[in-house]
Amino acid sequence: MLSIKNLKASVEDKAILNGIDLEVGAGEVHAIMGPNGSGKSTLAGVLAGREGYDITDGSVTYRGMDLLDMDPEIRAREGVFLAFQYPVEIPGVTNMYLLKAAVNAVRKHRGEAELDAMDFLKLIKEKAALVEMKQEFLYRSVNEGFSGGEKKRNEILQMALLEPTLSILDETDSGLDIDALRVVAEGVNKLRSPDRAIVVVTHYQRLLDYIVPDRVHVLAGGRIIQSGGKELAQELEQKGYGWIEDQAAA
Amino acid sequence: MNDIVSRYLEQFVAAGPDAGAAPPWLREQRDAAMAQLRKHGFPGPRDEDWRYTPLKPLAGKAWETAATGAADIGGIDDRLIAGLDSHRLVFIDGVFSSDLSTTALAQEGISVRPLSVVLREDAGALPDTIRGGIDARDGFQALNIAFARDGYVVDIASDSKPDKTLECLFIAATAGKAGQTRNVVRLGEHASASLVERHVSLDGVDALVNCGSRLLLGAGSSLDYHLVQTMDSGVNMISDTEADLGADATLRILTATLGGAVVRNNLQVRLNAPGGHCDMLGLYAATGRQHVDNHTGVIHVAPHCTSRELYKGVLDQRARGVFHGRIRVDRGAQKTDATQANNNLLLSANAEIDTKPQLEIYADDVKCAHGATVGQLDETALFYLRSRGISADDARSLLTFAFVNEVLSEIGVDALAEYLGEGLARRLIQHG
Amino acid sequence: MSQTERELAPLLKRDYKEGFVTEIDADTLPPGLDESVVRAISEKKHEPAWMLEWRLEAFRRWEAMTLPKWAHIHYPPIDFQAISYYSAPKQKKLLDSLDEVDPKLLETYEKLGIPIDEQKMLAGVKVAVDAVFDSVSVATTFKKTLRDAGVIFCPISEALQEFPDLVRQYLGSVVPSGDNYYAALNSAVFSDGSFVFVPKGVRCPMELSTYFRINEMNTGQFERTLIVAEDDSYVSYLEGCTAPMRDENQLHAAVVELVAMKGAEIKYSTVQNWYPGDEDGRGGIYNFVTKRGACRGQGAKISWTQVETGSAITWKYPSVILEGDDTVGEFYSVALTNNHQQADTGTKMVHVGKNSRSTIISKGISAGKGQNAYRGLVKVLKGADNARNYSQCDSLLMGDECGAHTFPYMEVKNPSATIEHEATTSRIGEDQLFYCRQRGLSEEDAVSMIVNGFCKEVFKELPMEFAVEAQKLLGISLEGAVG
Repeated sequence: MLSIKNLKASVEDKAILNGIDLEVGAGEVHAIMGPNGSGKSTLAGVLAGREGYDITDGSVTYRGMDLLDMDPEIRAREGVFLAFQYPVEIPGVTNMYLLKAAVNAVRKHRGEAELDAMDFLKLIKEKAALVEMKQEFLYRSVNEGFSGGEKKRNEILQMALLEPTLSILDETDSGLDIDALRVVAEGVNKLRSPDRAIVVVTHYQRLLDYIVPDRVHVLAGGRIIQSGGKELAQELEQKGYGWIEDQAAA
Repeated sequence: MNDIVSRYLEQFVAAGPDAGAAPPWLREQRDAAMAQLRKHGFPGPRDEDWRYTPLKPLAGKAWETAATGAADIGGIDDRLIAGLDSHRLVFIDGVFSSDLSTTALAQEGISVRPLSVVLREDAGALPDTIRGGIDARDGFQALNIAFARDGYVVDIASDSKPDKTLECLFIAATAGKAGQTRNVVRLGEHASASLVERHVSLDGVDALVNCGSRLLLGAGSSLDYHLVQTMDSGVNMISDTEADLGADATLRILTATLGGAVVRNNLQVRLNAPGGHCDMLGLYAATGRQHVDNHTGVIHVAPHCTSRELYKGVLDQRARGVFHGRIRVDRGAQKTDATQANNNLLLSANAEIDTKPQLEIYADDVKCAHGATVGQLDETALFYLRSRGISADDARSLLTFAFVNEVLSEIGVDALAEYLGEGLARRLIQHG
Repeated sequence: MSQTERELAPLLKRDYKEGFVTEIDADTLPPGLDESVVRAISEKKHEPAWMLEWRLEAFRRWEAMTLPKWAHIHYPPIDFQAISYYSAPKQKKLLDSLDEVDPKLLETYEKLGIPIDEQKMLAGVKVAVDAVFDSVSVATTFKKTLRDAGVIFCPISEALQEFPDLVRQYLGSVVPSGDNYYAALNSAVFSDGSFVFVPKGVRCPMELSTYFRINEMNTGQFERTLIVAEDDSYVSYLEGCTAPMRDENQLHAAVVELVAMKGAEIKYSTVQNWYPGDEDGRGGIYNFVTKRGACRGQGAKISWTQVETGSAITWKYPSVILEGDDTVGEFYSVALTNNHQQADTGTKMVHVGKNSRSTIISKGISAGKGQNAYRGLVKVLKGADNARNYSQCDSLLMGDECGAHTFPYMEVKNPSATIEHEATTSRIGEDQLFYCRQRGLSEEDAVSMIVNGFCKEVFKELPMEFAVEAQKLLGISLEGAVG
């Protein structure tokens, strides 16, 4: 589904990604772990099409398409979803409005009929219940005045609505208490299916107790220095990142 | 008012353009300033910047500039701030008094001298910035440049810091006189200093104080500057302060006005290089028929600078307050973060406040906010205090004091904060 | 230019879809202004003698005045002698019904989407329309329905014939003929406009709307609107404006006077979309307007809502004089400047009565090389005990060549007043745009959504149909060929 080859990217002439190779197949959940500053969020941003990165080398193929050649909204409509580490506040625009506009943009792109207000309302109520989000949040401005946990829940609600093919969760666990973490993880797990893939970017192993990955990759210095099964995450949790960085250097 | 300008011209000619040992560039400046005053005169009520300021007390009379030789006012001990240990220059009616000043500083890299002495002995030491052609913003500034013969010149060399607070004390002592002074403060790179400029007067004096100050802050330098005025109710005052900040320089400036008749404080700060920061604090408490007018402006010329302005005022009896604050963000001054607040308490049915906070923004990646409020003491809070046994008068004073305390608590010189706190308490109890 | 700005640039290109010209025979006075022009206008309108005197008095005052210079706007001097002060579509006689209106005119309004054909109006959307074409009113709908309710809604020229005493009683009572330069000019040469009178206790059964259109070249439009709401009455009035695209600047100097008596409420909404000029700042309307309302009786309320997207220059300060006790004044404004547009707009709230309250919400959007200034005055006079004002002025900047300015004045002479002013300046953040695009929205939709969110507090004050219109208009004003 997603094929990253020798991806190099820099920000203001500073190299951040130094040759990433990664294959994610349909139905798989991959975790990308690594210390702060290793390039995790940059990788997520590059995949979603955030501005400000120079791609200096390599390629990213998504379902046979050149992902890097697509505008962010086209990527989104083709099923790439980024759950933001810091969800953005948009004053005056209700959550409901944004969600409806987004769902219909995706549907239109797929050649499906746009949902009318009634159908949409039904859909969103169902999904909001899924992430245990109170309905009043739907009528508030996007993320404005939301707590950290509410913002993250809102991201998962959007993900549930848009039903993406490739989901990238950027540090979705940061700032969540244990209950919220459980709710978020359940939301993600419900989306697991043989034709979808999920990439979980995280610093800590604890989210992976709930979203069990098929593969774990360790990112350091802009490269994947080790890959393994879910047990790699546990090992990292016990021994810290220093251990694996030393091993890679050796 | 043309008549007044001609009388000033007569005084100017009588004094001679080179009075006070002026170097040629200064003589030229004085001539140019006098010419500008003759051409444009004093501002009138139709000038937007002066529409709220009564001009007659300021410009309705040709005040005489005091000649050389300071008047004798006896001692000054009871005019000092208790607990303020400072190096002090004293000026009477705008003329330096060596008798009342502390002895010359002997600290390396620190120079604090009267302008009259610098002009006589070391005119070359004055910064280039004040030597060029003049373009006085208004008639009062022109008047100041034409007539100022004294003032203070503070020079802090790079990486230096005075061992004490510097204090420049101006005393208006003679009726009918104008104290016209010009001051310069220059800080080298990474230098720092704390300076208190104070204006007091003898009781019952009817006089004019017209002072202009230039503050030049080198890269990474830090200046705490306090302009404090506690004069008697017969003295009118115009102060004009301009500050230029280099990269990463920090200016904290307080303008506190407790006394005077018609008082106009102009303050302009320019953030000329990235990393500059400026705190502008203001405090005014006016009673009787006082008029206190603060005109402030901060210009963000360079990107990545921050400014914060907080002016608080209490107006009682027939006093009138004016606040004009302007934040200008030039094109290219991206990442500016500027805030401005002006809060006022009206304590009497005849008091008045006119406030005019302004934003002028020509860059897009900026955060600017301003706010202004006019109100009175919170009735619920008053009731709460009284229900706890505090008298109505005490409760009022307490809450008024709490209102201005937000500014007082930011003053870095403890003795000065205490002095102002007491001064305010006296005024508020007297009139509260 | 950052990447966002580069991408915003095409979005900010606008097309002015109302920019067509109607080819129609017009009865137009030659350019120039002197006493004879004033007399000619008055004569064409068959006005009573007192009206001519009133105009001449205004003209004399105007002659002695100089152009105001204090606003934050720049434009070359206007040659007042090069303007024609009267232009009317040629019509054979006075009209009794819409059937007699020139079909070309009807077509024009149809193109603009203005419903002046009563039959074609949807049931539910009841709006009475007075359509003003250049200098005269061409059609007023639902006159009869309104008359039955006791409401007078007609062209002011007609009111001068039919209700001269009523007009005389209120005309100039809020905006005196010599109030300011443009108001004096208007008083001398105004040719038409709307007159509304809502009698005591009547709630006007439908929205009233006037639609203004400048068509002729080198023509100024000087309309005068007078709305009087007697005790305990209510009226909601909408005003819309467009003009063809022309290279020259055209002048629009209107005066609007509102009088609300005891317990009455007037809601006045404007969607102003005069031709703004082209991308290089050529052409466009100079919009110098004086709008003022007086809350004359206890508990009266006047609410101004404006969406200003057009005009090369906008200079207007819809104001409220809160004379009565417990009166309420409101000002809700969205002003958008793009390309070379300049706007200096805001309000004056003058608190005279006790417990008078005012609210000011101003949203300025600057794009391209646009300059947008809010200028407002809140004045609390001595007797206005417990006056309250809350002002909020927010600016949104798009691109680094535009400007946003805030010039509030607060003059308070009463110690029991509570005045609060807040202002902020921000821009459309790259992160906001990216977030929306990551959810599948096009950049254009994202910008429009964010801008509409920014303006929401104002839009919710507009009548429903107008709110939709205003949102679309903002979209159009900011959209263009997105590649």
